[in-house]
Amino acid sequence: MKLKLIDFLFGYCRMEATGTFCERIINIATAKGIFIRDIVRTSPDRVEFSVSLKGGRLLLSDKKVTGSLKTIRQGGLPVILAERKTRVVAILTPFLIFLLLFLSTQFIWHVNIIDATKEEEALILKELERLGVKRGALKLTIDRGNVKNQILIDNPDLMWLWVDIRGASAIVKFAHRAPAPEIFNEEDFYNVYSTHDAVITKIMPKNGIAKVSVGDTVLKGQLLIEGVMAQDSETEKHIHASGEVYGNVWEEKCVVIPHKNEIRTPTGNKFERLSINFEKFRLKLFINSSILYENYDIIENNRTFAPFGATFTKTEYHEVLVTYEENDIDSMKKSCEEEFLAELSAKGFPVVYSESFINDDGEKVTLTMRALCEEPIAKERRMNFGEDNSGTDN
Amino acid sequence: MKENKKSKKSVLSKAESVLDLATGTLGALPNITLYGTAALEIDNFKSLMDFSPDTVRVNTSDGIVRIDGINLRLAFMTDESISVRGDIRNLSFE
Repeated sequence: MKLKLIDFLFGYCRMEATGTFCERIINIATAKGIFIRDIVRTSPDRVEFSVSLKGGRLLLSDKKVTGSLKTIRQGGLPVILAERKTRVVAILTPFLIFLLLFLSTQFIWHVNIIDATKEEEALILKELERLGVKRGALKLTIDRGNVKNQILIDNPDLMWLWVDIRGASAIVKFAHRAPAPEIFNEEDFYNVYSTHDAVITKIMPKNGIAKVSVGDTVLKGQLLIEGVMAQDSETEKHIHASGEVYGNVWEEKCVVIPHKNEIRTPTGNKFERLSINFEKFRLKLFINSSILYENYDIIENNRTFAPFGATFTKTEYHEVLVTYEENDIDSMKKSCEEEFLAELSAKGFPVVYSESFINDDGEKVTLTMRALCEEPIAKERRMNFGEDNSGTDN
Repeated sequence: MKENKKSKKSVLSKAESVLDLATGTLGALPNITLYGTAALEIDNFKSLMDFSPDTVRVNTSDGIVRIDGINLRLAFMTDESISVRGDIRNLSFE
């Protein structure tokens, strides 16, 4: 039984020795180290036996036995596979492709961080990589709960984070912790300072002593309402100063307007180039690298093929006709001014006065716009005893 | 040459008897194992001399072993051992 199984798995060769002294051939075979089995005498001058495929080839190549030895048949798995090579390949190829796809989906090929800036993405990617969530990591080895907890412990500014594994992609969602608002303790002592350089237009102290009056010019960080009140000639009382202070503040914006405006008109001509990127390796699927057009726009589409982590890049080159148009500086100036004033109105700052200046250096025009707005400029800040609280700092 | 072999054999057999070892431990004597009347194995044989469904003759260092029977066949054969299967009726030494 064992011999039959071995014969099937490794293949066998059934041979026939003819002649008066068939035993001689068998002895030669054993002397060569060939394992012979199932030796049967079929007629007085014929002996049949089985050897391995390799043994059969070795025996047939021996000149001593040539002529009196022939192969009757070959069998076993290697022979079947060799005979039905095409059919086996046709059956095995889809199976292997399926197996390869299945195996490849057991790894992480793409880490996608939702709604993250470049800095946040870099930080979270670094943390994920430290905890084993990276390209090429086996999905089974990733403990999502542990990854989530470790990142949240190490990054206190994150409120929550979720790692979801879909197919071969790790999708990471997170939210920042909202900064806690500053708590004003009514029993603490505060002064009110200016947030901008301004000319005071309104001052309404609710608590404390106003140190400036309407029409005064104040600098950023200057004391506006003081929380220190004199009780008598020797003692002072500290209070929580508060109030509303408005002042006229200059807002400024610079815009550069080129004399000529470039207009790129697509001609409709285009060509595409494909490439496959895997990590740092880029496989170009084109031969000619030269660009056919003088002026062109490039549109690049990347598609990540998750099972293998490869990215297919389709680069489209669109030919454009470049023309230049003289800019109407006056109309541009007007539209920029309107835009600037609209921005200020959107902030809720009433504009008291506005002006603009043009500086033309021949190549471009620099438009500087200024507007005087009435803005709230008061900000409460805790008193630091032992320090100068009256000063002009930020 | 033959004398040398014989003297070597006798030295080895004497050593076996002095050391109280099983016969054939030190020497390459043929080892014949008979499994009922259905199978027979010979280790340390020299060559196959004759093979037919009725008779198998095997050359060993101790002489020729002859196996008579019915429907005899050789299950396997290597350079060291040979296995005879069939209905074994007689085993003799020539």
